[in-house]
Amino acid sequence: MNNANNALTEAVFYILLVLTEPKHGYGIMQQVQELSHGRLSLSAGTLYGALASLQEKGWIEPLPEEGRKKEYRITVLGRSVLEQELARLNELVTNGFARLNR
Amino acid sequence: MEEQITKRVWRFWTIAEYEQEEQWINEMARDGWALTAVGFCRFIFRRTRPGEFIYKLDMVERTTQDEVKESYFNFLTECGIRIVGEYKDWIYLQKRAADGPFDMKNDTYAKLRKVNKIYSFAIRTICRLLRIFMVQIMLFSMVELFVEDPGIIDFSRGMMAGIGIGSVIALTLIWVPIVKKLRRQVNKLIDEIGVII
Repeated sequence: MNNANNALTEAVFYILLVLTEPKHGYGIMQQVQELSHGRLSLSAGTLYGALASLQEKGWIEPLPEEGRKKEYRITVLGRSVLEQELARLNELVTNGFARLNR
Repeated sequence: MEEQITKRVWRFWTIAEYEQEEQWINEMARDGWALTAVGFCRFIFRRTRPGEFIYKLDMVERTTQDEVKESYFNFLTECGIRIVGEYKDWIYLQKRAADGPFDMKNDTYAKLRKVNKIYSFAIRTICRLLRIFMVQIMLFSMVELFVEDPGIIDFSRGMMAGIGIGSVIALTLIWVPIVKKLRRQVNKLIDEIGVII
């Protein structure tokens, strides 16, 4: 999920992003698809695996269960990972535009 | 109640042919035969509207803890996916075609994860075969050492030869080609991901 230079995959980035509000699995899938204009559609198997690894890392947590649908939300640690990633992406974008428009 | 028309089809697929198997099940569904149950080489279909369902094969290790498995199955249900059959480590997933496809097209990561699961299943199976073979050798050498009755020794040697030849054939003719094929698929997918550095 997370490669050597700590860049997040697109899937992980979007999962963390949509979990800034509590959501269940199916809701995550739908919103990721919406945000990416249908470009990124996670399969149930992929999403399930991703949610398990993200919980293990402590970046997301399940909410106390109400009914059958399990909901998740981002943790403080997850939020800081997301912020770091945004800063990194921002650097790429800024440098990219600066050099190309020179 | 409406009478259900079902049909039973016998068909054998090796685990390396999961893509063809999946394709075949989906073609049946397009023709109006929806898979409802799976057994050893046995598929049971029910007459439905053509193209009502789509199918996908997934693998869950049989040794997976029940609660982990249950939570995965619940998750799939939430996503509108039904598990219509389980055989060995395979699970057969069904979804309404109207709800959209299972995966993104060309999701190489997802494919790699899947082939990798199948690959490790094949390796586990080979290890299991070797373990059985080793236990047999141990048992029969004990017979050779401690039994004096020539009848029993002859019988034991015959069994030993039979099991030995059987295992070698099963390994070299069936499992080794399967593992090689899967290994090639894994390598191809890794190349496709094509991360530079």
